[in-house]
Amino acid sequence: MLIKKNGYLRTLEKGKKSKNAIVFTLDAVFAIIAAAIIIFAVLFYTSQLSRTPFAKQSLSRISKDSLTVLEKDYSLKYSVQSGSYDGIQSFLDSLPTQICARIGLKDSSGALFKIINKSGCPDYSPSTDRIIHRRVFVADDASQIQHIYYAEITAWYSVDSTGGSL
Amino acid sequence: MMCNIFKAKKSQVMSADVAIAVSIFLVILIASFWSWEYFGKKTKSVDIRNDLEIISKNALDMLVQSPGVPSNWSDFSAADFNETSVLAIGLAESSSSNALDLTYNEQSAGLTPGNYLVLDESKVQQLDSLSQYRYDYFQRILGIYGSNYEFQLDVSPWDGSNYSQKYFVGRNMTDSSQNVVRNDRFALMNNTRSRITLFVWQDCGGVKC
Repeated sequence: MLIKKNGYLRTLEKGKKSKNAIVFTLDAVFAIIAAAIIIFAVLFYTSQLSRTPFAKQSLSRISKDSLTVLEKDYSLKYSVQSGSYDGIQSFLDSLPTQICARIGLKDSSGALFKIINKSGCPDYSPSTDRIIHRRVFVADDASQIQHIYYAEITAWYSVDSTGGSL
Repeated sequence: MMCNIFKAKKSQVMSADVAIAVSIFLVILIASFWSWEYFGKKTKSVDIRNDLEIISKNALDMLVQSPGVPSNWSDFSAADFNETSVLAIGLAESSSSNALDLTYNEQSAGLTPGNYLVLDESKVQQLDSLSQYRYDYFQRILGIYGSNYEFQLDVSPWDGSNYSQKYFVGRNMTDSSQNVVRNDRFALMNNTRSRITLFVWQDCGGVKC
């Protein structure tokens, strides 16, 4: 075994213990730490990239389309006039499985008088990203007098469908 | 002096700290090359996916929100239907609820009350019948450019319990389809709720794109 002694390489005699030691240099330690920090920082920030950057846009479009279609095919109007909300319910239930939604109906004073939830969707948590849209429609009362109502849709993705980020 | 140099007994062969430093340097170098390669591929994959998403959304917006240019393009025969006569394809009805003719005014359906998200079934039928002959033209006019990009458009009216596909435009997906992007819109067609689905993907013929 070779050891360094007085600047020369010497052969260590068998049975003798060397008093010299190899010190791990501090600059090598700093270099390793710096390199590790940089690599882990890059890995961390690139892992934060959203896998679904357009998810909110899609949800917004579908929400707006939903209210538009329900208003144009008079489902909103007839539901309020008849008191039966099956048309709205069937539309919500036919939305894609990864989308949860609820429609709230409000009168002209803004008072909420009916909520229709998509079947099988758990309620959202306060931290869930939600999209909200509103649409105005007109419906008659029993005396054939027209009143203004508001339909408000709240939509969100069910948790498992987004991979945790929108 | 030259003889003294050759007779010198001191020499630097190798020190342990140099060996350790070199090995650490090699580890960092290899890690850097690996990271470069990995993140380059990942960035490219994300970029292609985003491109497909944007193209798909824009194409679907144009189809369901506008009547096309000219708005009566569905009246053209197959022989008259070409890139000079039809500048844009849209499925929305050509007239508004107050009977304004969009052919004359060339208005966007989004700004005209009545026919936003209200589709003209004759336009959907025309698109369906022409798609197998004019697929390349439809690709260009819908902006579905890109290397090996393909598309499929489904129009599915509500039958009381489900959305059932009634019209099909474009190509079928195969086992070699990659990076498939799907976008849905809802609209009315003949006073019936309908779902309009656009799929856009890459097809590189069985190899990874």
